[in-house]
Amino acid sequence: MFSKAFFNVLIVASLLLTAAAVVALLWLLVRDFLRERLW
Amino acid sequence: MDFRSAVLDPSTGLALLGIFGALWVALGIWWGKKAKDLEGFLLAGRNVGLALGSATAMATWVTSNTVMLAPKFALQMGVWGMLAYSTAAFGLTLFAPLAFRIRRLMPAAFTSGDFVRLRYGRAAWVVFLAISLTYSMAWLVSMGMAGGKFLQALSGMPYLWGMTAILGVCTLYTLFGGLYAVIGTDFIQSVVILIGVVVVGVVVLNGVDMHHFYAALHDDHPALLKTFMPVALLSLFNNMFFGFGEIFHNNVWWSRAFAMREGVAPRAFALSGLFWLPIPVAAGFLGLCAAPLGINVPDPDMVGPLVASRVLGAAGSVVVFLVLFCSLASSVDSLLAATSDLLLEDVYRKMLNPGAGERVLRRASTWVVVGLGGLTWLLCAGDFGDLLQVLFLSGPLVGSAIWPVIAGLYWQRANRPGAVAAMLLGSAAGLWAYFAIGWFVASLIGTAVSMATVVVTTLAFPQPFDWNRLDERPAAS
Repeated sequence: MFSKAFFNVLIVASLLLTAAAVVALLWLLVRDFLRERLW
Repeated sequence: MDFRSAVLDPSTGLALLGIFGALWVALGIWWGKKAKDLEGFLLAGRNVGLALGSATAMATWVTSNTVMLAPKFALQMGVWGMLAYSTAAFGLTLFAPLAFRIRRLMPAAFTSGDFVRLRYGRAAWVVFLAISLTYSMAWLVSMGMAGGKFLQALSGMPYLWGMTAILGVCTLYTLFGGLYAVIGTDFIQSVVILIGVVVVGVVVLNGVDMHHFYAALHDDHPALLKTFMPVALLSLFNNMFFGFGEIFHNNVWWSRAFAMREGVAPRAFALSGLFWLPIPVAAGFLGLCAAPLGINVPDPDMVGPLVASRVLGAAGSVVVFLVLFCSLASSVDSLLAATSDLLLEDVYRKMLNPGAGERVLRRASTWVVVGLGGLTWLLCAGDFGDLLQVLFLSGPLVGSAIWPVIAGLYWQRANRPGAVAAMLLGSAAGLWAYFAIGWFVASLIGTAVSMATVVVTTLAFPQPFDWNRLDERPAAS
């Protein structure tokens, strides 16, 4: 049976990683825009 | 529980649909102005950067199925169900080296069909197109149906209206803007999806006492926390191979590899896999919440929206609505564009009208997009029932295409009859397994039979291949 600790870490980590993905995407967008390399 | 008590009223649903639908179409028209020629329309000028490239790959792979089926997997198979769905991210990551090689070997190609035609010849090309088009239609129909269902469940809008609205909006902006519109809107949609998943997850996490939540699962639904669950473990590998097959063979991903600027595609696909990995767990968590929160789930396909609406109320319904709408649009537009490319380039240009010029092709592309949207609508209007069945029926077909594609890209001696036999035998074995055993092993068996066929035929009848034949540029021939 999956432990409570594993379960909690799994859920919280998935939310943190998803939030990090938003930040990374926006950062890449700004970087590409400033370098005029969007398209 | 009557979930309609916590969902959007139909007028709010219609207003959101109208606002975002108009926004996507307007952006499609605006970005579409960048497409000066057919290559611009089909492949966004082959110059897409890392930000847009990563976002479009991720957003396309986050389908309504991810948001709706991951909670369903969790509801039915517990923690392993969420993890099983997450393994589909490996397909994106593993496509990174393939994208590098595809871009290098075929700098002027348009579709995945071009590769199979040049690498394996006409017979393999026809079989491959049959598999790819069958799968693409299954995916499109499953999402059109999901769109109709979720709009009905969230806002009370009739199934036919919601399904028509979603397919109509996506067809319109794909029609006006081609891949420019698809990739541009995908970026906005991916940000909305990610923010929505985080917001819903955090609010639900704050709304439940994790100690009692775990205890309730442990005591009342111990199967959902089991570390050994054979069906879930099989579904994990099945899902992973289905993901490999979907991504490795489908023109949705090949067209993006062709569309990205040189050197961008491998990094974009690696990043998109990383971005996608946590989403099924974050969304699947909602499925696990249903039982401890005492929510009655009349339709397992709707467990995610039901839990979000119950915990977040009307605001939650708006967030879920937007996440699902963006998930659907980002995949439907990509499939419409990439499948239209396949029909236009492989079927119309190469088979039916080889002498067609740029203007004829551009006009034909309009009819292909409209026709494909119309056909999808007709099939969705029939409402085939269980989403999972529609999706996984095409699993063994795409599983059988994995090894012919990989061997074709990297194994110089892989031969034509072997590729045809691998796709046919793999599909047949996988379909047999689907009906005789179950969906959770169909892709696995289809892939295994296909792999064995490619390996045996290549070792028994090696045919050296000249890689330069994949480059169709006039100067190279």
